[in-house]
Amino acid sequence: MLSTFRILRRLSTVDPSEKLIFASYKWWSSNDALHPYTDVRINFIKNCLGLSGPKPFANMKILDVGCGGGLITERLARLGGTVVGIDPTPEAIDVAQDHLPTHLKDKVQYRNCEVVDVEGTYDLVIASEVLEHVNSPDVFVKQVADKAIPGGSVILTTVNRTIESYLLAIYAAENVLGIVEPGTHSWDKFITIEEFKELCRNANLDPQELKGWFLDYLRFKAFEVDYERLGYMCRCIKLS
Amino acid sequence: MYSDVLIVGGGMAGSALGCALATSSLFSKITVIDTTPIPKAPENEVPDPRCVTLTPISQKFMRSIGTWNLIEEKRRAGFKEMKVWDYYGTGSMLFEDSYGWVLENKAITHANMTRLSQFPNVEILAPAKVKGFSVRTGEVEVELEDGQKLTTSLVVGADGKESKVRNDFKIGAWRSTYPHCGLVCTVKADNKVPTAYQRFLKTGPIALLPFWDDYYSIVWSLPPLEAERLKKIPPAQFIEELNKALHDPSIVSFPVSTQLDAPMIREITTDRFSFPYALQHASKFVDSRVALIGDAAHTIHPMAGQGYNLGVYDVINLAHDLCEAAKVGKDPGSLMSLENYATRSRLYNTLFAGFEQFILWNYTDFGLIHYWRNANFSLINNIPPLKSLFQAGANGTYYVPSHWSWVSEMPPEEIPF
Ligand SMILES: Cc1cc2nc3c(=O)[nH]c(=O)nc-3n(C[C@H](O)[C@H](O)[C@H](O)COP(=O)(O)OP(=O)(O)OC[C@H]3O[C@@H](n4cnc5c(N)ncnc54)[C@H](O)[C@@H]3O)c2cc1C
Repeated sequence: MLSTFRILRRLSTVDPSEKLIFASYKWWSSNDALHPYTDVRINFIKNCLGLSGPKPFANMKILDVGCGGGLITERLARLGGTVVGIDPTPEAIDVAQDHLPTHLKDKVQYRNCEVVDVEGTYDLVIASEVLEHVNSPDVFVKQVADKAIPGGSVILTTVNRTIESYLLAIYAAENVLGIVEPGTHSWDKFITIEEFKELCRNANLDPQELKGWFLDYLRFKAFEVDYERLGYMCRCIKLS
Repeated sequence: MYSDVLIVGGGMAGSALGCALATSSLFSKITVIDTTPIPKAPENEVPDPRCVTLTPISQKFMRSIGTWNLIEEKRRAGFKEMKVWDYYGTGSMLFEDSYGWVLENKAITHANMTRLSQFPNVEILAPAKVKGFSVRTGEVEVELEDGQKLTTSLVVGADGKESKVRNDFKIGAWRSTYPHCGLVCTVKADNKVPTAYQRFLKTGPIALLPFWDDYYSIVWSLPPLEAERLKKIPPAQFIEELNKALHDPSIVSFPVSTQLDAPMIREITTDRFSFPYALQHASKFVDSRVALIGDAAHTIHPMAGQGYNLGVYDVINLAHDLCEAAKVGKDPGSLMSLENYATRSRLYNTLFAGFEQFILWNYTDFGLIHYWRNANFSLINNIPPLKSLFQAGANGTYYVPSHWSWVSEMPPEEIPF
C-alpha cells in the first residue's frame, strides 16, 4: 500500500495535449482575463494569510506550480516573496523568463519541470488554474500538498463543472468575448466543489476559505464573490 | 539602484506625486529628480506674484499628503466667492460657493519637498540632471549627467511644459498659441475683501486674486505687445490703467443692468513679470514605462485658474491607480497599470481646453456675439442647477475618485472662513 502511494507520487500528471495549448499562449496580452483575475487571486491570498503593507510576502518561500508566463510569480516577487515558478511547458517558462525584470531576478527562479521534480518544502504553495488541465487531479493534489510545510498554506483555484461554467468559461470567454484563447478549457475536466474537497482531504489538506470569482467584462475588472458556480479559489492548510 | 517609481521634475506636480506614493507606504523606494536645488522656506513679506488658485479638491489633496499644515497660515489665503463679469454687457456671474485658496508656487513646492524629505524611502536628487533613458525588459535604466545609473519600473515626466521625458520617450505634443501672454504682479488695494475677481476685457481676461493683508495678485492676460508696454510704463500710470481695466463701466446695459464693483488698486508692490501662454497636449499621456503629469502632459490658458489644479487631478488619479496596482503586486510601469489614468486625465483636460477655447472664441469681438455671451452668463447665473453643475465642474469633484488609496480615511471638507 505504502509503495503504491510512493509510486503515485512520482507519476507525471501532465497532459501532452494541454501542453501544446500553453506552448503558444499569449500570457502577457493585456486583454487576457487572467490579468484582472490575478488581482483577485493575489488579494484572496493576502486576505487568507492576513497580510498587508508594502512587502507582505517578505521572508516567505513560495512555490508557484504551473506558473505559465509568470503572471502570479512575478507579482509575488514584487510583493517581497522568494518564488520558484515551475511549468512543464518549456515555451511558457521562456516567456516568463524573458518577461522577468532584472530587479526581480534574485527573487525568482523559473524551472521547466513538474511538481514531482521539485525538492524541499515551501511556506506557501500555489496551483492556480492547473487542476482542470492535469491528468489524475487526485495524484496532482497529493504532489502539490507534499511541497508545503506542515501548517503551511496551499492555494488551489479551478473551475466548477456546472452548466454556467460551460456557457461562460468556455463558450462566451473563448468564442464571444475572446478573453481566453480558444481550446484552453475542456468542460469534463472541470471539478465540482464536492469532488474538490474530497481531493483535498485525501491529500492531507484541510480546505478552509473558499470563494468564487467573477469578471465584469465591461469594466474588465474581476471580483471575489460568494457565488462559486463558475471559478473558485480555496486556501487549504497542510496537516502534519 | 532600483526605485519602483522615478519622478523627473520636483515642481508642484512631481513633488506632490512623490508625497502621495510615499504616504501609502506601499512602495519600497521612490526617487525624485530636479535640475534645481530644493527651495528654501519662503520668508518674503510681500506675496510672490507667481501663484496659483487651489480648488477645494486640490486643497483636500494637500491635507491628505500632510503638506497643507507645513505652509505658514498667513500664506494660505482663502477666498469665499468668485465674481466674474464682462466689459461689454452686463451679464455677470457671482459664484457664492466657489471658494478656494491662493498660494505662492514656491510655498507649495517647499512644503511638498519638506514632506518628501521626511520619508525614509524617498530619494531626492536635486540638483541633478538626467542624461538619458534606456528601456529594457520590465524596467528603464536612467543615466544622470554625473554618470550615476538608476533603474526603475516607471518614469514619471513631471518636468514642465518643455518636458525632456516626453521628448526622450518620443511622445509628440500638439501645441497652439493663444493671442495672449500673462502679466503678473502683486498689488495693494483699498478695502480688501476675500473675493476673487475676473473681468473679461476686450484684450483678454484680468484676474484679481486675494492674498494676505491688503495684497492681491494680478494675472492679466493680454496681447504680448500690450504686455510689454504695460511692463515698461511707470508704476503710477500702470495703476491707473489697471483701475481703468477693472472699473470702466460696461459699454451697454442689456438685458439687465448689474455692475460689479472691484476694489481700487492703490500700490504696486512687486516687479511685473510676463509669461508666454500655450495650449499644449501630449499625443499620449502614458506609454509603456512612462507617464506624463501636469504641464508635461498639458497646458492651458490660466484664465480659469485651473492649470495647476488639473495637474493635481492627474496626481490624484495616477497615485490612486499606482497604489491599487502595488497592493496586488502589479508592475507600475505596464500599460495595464497606467491606461485608466490616461483615459481620465484626457477627459478633463480636453473638457477644460475646449471650454476655454469656447470662451476665447466668444471674445473674438464681432457684433452680436456679445449679446449671446452675456445672455449665456446671465443664464448660467440664474438657473441654479446649471450653475451648480458649472461649479462642481470647476471644483474638481467629478474628475477624481471619491476615495484615495494612500489614505485610510479621507480628510473632512474644509471651507475658508
Ligand atoms: C501666468 C500664469 C498664471 C497661472 N495661474 C494659475 C492659477 O491661478 N491656477 C492654476 O491652477 N494654475 C495656474 N497656472 C498654471 C500653473 O502654474 C502650472 O500648471 C503649474 O506650475 C505646473 O506644475 P508642474 O509641476 O507640472 O510644472 P512646473 O511647475 O513647470 O515644474 C517642473 C519642474 O521640473 C523641473 N525640471 C524641468 N526640466 C527638468 C529636467 N530635464 N530634469 C529634471 N527636472 C526638470 C523644473 O525645475 C521644475 O521644478 C498659471 C500659469 C501661468 C504661466
